[in-house]
Amino acid sequence: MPIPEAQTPSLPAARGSGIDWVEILLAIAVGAAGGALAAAIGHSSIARLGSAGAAFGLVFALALRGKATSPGAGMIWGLGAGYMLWMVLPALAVILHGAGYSTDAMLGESRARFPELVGCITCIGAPVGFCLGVWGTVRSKSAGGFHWGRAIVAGGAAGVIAALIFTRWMYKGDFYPLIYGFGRLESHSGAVVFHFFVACLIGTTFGLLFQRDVRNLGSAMGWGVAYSMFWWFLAHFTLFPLAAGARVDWSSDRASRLFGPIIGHILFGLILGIIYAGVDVVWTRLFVDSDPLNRKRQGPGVNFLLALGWGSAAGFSGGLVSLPLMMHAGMIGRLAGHGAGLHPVFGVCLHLAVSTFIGASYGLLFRGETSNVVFGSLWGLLFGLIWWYAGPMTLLPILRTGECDWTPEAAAAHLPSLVGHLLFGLVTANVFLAFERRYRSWLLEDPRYAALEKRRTRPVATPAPALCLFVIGLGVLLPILLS
Amino acid sequence: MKPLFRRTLTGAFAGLASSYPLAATNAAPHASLLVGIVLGAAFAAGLGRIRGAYAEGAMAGAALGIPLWILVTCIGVPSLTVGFPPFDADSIRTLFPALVGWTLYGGLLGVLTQAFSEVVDRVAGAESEPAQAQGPASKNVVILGGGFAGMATAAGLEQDLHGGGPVSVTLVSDQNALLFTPMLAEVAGGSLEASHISTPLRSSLHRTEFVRGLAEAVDFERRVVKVSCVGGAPGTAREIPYDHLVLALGSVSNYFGADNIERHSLDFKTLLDASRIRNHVIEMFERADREPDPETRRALVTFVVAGGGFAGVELAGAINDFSRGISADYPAVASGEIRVMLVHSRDRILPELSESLARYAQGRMAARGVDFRLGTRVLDAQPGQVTLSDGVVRTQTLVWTAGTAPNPLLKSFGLETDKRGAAVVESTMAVAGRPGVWALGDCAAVKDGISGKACPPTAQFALRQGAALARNIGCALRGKPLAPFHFDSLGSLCVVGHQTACAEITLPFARSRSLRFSGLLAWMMWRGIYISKLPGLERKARVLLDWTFEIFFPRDIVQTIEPK
Repeated sequence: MPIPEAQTPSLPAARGSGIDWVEILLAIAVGAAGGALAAAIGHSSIARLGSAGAAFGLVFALALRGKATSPGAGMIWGLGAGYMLWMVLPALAVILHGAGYSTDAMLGESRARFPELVGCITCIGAPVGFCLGVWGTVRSKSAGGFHWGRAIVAGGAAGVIAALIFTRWMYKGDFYPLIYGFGRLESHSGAVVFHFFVACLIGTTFGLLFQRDVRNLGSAMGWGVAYSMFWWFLAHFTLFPLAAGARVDWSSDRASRLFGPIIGHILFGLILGIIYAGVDVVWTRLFVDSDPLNRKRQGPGVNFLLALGWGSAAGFSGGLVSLPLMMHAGMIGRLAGHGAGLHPVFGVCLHLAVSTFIGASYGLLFRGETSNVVFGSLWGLLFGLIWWYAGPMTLLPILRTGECDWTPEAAAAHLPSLVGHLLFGLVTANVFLAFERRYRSWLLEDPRYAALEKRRTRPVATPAPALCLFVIGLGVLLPILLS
Repeated sequence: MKPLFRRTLTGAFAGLASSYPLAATNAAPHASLLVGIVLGAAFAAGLGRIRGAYAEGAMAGAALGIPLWILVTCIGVPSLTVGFPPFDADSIRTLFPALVGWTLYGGLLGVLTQAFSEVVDRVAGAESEPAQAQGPASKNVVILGGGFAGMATAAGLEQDLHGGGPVSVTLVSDQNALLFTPMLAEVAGGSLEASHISTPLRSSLHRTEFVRGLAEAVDFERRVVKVSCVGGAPGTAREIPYDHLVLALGSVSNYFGADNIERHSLDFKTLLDASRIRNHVIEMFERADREPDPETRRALVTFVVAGGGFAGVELAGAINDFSRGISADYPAVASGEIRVMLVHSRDRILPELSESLARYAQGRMAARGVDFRLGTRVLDAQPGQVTLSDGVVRTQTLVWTAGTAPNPLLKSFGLETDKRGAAVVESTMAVAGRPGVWALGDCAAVKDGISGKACPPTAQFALRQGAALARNIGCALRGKPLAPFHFDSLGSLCVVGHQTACAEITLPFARSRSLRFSGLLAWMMWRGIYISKLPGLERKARVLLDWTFEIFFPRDIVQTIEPK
């Protein structure tokens, strides 16, 4: 039986054949205006940030031409590129000026440049990406596969449900991270209503922006976290102060005060993404995949069980490899509950059991996301990072004390275990990928099923790398800068 | 140049060119360059070749720079130089500049890897994968029979030939599914849905061409098999050429020349047979329910099973449970009128098990209502009655499990057979005097390569023979020496009724001794072992669901086959 010829994958052809000057000019204009606005709000040099924004727009339009296929995709590319802009330009300056830098000075300088980070993300990266995405959609006139009603209803419902789940934790402490810092609400019921309004708004816009990009529960989780982090920058630093008539403050001191809400946003985004994709997946399973005309080689049940088994084995491996780091970071002792006088061996067993369980969830969430080691590693790191925020920062304190500890001090205390979590994600993702590739290579040997299997894997041209850079970059950077 | 090597080399150069930020922000510049080169090579190898992915590469590289900062700068370097780092927030913060360096390095690496790859493509030409398995296959392996032996051989060949190779595998079977015979009695007893214990051959075998047909003849000189398609028009037989021919034709029921018995009894070999028995039992109850004459009614609900081996005992137990269970829906049939009779020519049932277990099984089944006729033969069968060596039994139901024989097609092929009719083979399963022809399973007289004893015709042995034969065919294709077949039985399991079974497990490294289990524990072992052996996750899930429903709901009495 002939085996299909292996081909070097290529990205989808860019729109059009020549340079789209309108697109470039649009990107430059939006970038320059965004840079100037950021400078005005952040009290920086308008010329510097304005020109940086214009240059960003130019490079973005040239480098990412054809990739901003929708407003959501463009926005994610923009967020990743905005983060890179903030990270790279000053670093280049430091490096090009020679080795004469000091650690404290660099850290201090980065803290001082925090307003620029907010500007790069909210005023330059996101708007430029969004505008190019809108332009790309208008130009290609391809609205196929997009359902307005589903996006609004599913997104809005996911936002409200996520807020409902989320609020159960926050209700006791009268702490609503999504609207923290919005000063005009005096009554408790008003805060609750406004909290749900913001959640619904985030959810609805999430559905509208990312319906085409959301593929699986896992990637939806990543998209949810990224979008929710963007809202942290947009709402808490800019919109809420403006709405409250207060001075807009983008400094790192204010960011430190808003550290609790960023964790809240990350967890809200996580739940939002999962619920949105869950609704989508259930819908697809019930009404699309169940149709015999759409029959796949193996039913969703078989894929589910396979992913569960592979994920468990991968999680166990990840737990085993990250064990020394977790022990060094004191996580095993905390798991064993030193206060309760339990033996550390119990902690090791518990760590491995939890790792296996979390690995199984990785399998279910991220199956079919990639067939590539590099991108697989990125999803794994993202998963590990999210679990750091969800585990030691949230669930463990809740289980031990009934309340979560989202302070910069707690982040500093748990920073060492972040390394273990990232390593866990990395190993879990790669072991899972190895299982998946082995199985897929098996199926791909039959050319009749090769095309079907390929369709199930996320193509390389999606903004997943930018999403991973934005979330992992900020997820690691913020605890370091702000704690 | 091999693509992976080319990618790795390109990545190493890209890593070197991107390493300046690393060298500028890390303590040891020279070591940083080396690390940059190694990681660049790994990145390029892991990413593969994706044309035009500059932005993707830059973003992915920059994102990967962050964990690399942790692994290399925060953990690796201190561990190698001053021991495991203290690893607190303050010490991590002191390494912040390196984080910037790593992010920059990753971003540059992603862009430069793409750029260098484009340059290499222009200079040395585009990457090309080795053309594996292109063109027509030069060797054909044809397997006749889709039972355990045939399926295991095909699966083993797929595994052995995984990754290509100019070999094609064709499986010819008159059934398009592998029947999991250990659970066949449960289908007859109505506790499992018929299709749930069959695995489609087309779905299970990924590299094997499946042909639904019957082998009519083999031309050993021309090395072709003549196959007629099931249901096809006469004269449409096709010839399939082979280099290696595997005969896994299985066995058929043996009536020892008793035509009346063959004509008036139900067979118990296939899925259709099992479904037919279940439907027949229901039909008998339907008739009995409206039958006013007690004697006739009694005859209708009398079920005779001939044969006290595994198949007969499990079937008798299943029919007994099924018939007594459904009698609640037939108020005119008294439970005392139901009779399930097991006829066996020897003095004890289950000759494959030790005597104590056989006695246990008999006792348990008798307590549940099965009537045993040991040392008795079935002499004749007529409509409405079965003649035994010790009398006549009025019944409408006789199920024959008392004998099997190798598939008679073997004789028509002109192969040498033993007195049972099984093909005589060497311990490597090669048919003597017929190069490239192999036989295994129920249709072959395979002798153990070590003990020299004949292998029993069971699924357990057929599966192992299939895997061993696949390896031997692989060896033959590669010109390597063949290995004789050897396998020690793992034991035997037999269900005798509701939540009751017998199990005899052979002790590893002490093959002459065994562990014996009976009752609920043995039944749980039976279910656990066979559900794990049932091919396909989907089938496992379906059978588990059937078993679960069985706990909460009565067995179905819907007739799915029109009674004769």
